[in-house]
Amino acid sequence: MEPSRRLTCQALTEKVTDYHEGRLSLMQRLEFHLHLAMCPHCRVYVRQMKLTLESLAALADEID
Amino acid sequence: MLLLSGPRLASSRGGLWNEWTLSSQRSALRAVCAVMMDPFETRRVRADGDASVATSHAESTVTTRTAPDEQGLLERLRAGDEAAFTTLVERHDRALLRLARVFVPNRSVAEEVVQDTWLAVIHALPRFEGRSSLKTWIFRILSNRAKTRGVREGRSVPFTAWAGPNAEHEPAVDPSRFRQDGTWAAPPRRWESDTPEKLLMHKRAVARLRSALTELPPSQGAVVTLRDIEQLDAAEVCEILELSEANQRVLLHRGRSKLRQTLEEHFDGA
Repeated sequence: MEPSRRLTCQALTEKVTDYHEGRLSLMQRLEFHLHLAMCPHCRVYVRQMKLTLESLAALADEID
Repeated sequence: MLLLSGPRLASSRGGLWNEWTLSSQRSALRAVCAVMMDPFETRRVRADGDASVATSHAESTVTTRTAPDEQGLLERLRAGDEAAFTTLVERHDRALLRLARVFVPNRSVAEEVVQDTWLAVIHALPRFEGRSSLKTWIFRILSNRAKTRGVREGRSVPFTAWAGPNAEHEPAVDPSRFRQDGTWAAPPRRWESDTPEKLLMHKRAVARLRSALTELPPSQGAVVTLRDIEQLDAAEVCEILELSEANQRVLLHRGRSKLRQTLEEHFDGA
């Protein structure tokens, strides 16, 4: 299964924060979603980024 | 057609953050339509979008105001109510310590910076005009003091040096992990601890994450701390750290990317 040609895996890793911050245009967001639909590796990457953010959020409750 | 050939696609509102469980073409179409219909699907998007976000520090305007729940506290503080000051300290002390820690080399120096900040707050309170929230104002005092102290202690180069355009050229992922066509050559492997609950059970991973935060360039560590731990919004962080919105976003991206990499190295080496 071939990922979207317009957005490479490498380019997607640079757009994760822009996506999360709502900074992508409609077309860019569609490309982002379509790429993820096709690419299991990028899904793992995005999942890891999500886990990283959730773990950071939990640090607020941790005793230093 | 690319759209219809996709085997799986994100569910509608949760976007990419949700599990990838939908498999039918109908689900795929529905998800894409949802993206088109709902441009504000991500949880951090500000309702006022670009309009209130400064494009540079020079152009920045104060967009926040003293929160209603802070108004009463502020009045008591101005009246010299000690209990009100204790409330204020209890509310923000730990967060201030976390922010100070990214600028200075150790916890004891960070504690000194926080104490200095509280003294400065007491002295400056009569001049506080309420053009920003009390919290933002206090964090800004802290960050200015911590930056100066960090430079003096040798923890960091001047903050502005890290916030410059060079940061944009730092890749989120080592380029050697990609082929020439931009596809993964060395893709990330699924972590064994694939839920936040499981991950947080790994005390060593959490400890590694916390130490990695203090190893980031201070500007990145400060932005990540304020956005992802303290859950402040972008405009507040720009105001506290005196950053443009674009710089804030670049620093956030670089910082988050490095922390993901740290956890990846931890789990791959475990």
